[in-house]
Amino acid sequence: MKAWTKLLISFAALLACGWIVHGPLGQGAAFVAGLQAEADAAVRASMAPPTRIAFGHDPLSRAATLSGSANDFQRNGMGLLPGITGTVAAVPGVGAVHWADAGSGGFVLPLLVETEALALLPWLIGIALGWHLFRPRRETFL
Amino acid sequence: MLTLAEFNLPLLVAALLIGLATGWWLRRRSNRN
Repeated sequence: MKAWTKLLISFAALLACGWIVHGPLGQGAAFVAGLQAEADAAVRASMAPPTRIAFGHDPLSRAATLSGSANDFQRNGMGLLPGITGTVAAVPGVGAVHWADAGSGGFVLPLLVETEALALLPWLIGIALGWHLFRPRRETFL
Repeated sequence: MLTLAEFNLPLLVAALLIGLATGWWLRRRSNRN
């Protein structure tokens, strides 16, 4: 079998593995649910007016869409006061934040794509490591 | 991104092992020789 065929099969296995973890095993949904809970708690703690925080679910994403009756100052803050946008953006793991009434949030990368891209680096490191560790040794009789 | 990596640590380990197995597979000598 040619080397590139082996690489292609391995890459397909990597993608399948990433999808199984993200989808059927529910890690993607669990990650977004965790972000939702943390963002809700952060906004509640900042005593801002009630704000609805919606993360992308179709497809799953780390981008938050905010909606509510907050005014411009409450939304964007001033100086050291972060405002609701800054508070949500500061939650670890949140990718992007935009307000529903401020137009579309632009292109959002699905969480599945981000997860697969993340798995690419250890996969490449593994290949390099395997290529080095399992190199053919010269047999000497001395 | 770092948070996502921490959350998906088992997947990253699996990806490393798949890569390692691929490295071994690429180096394996053909039995036809």
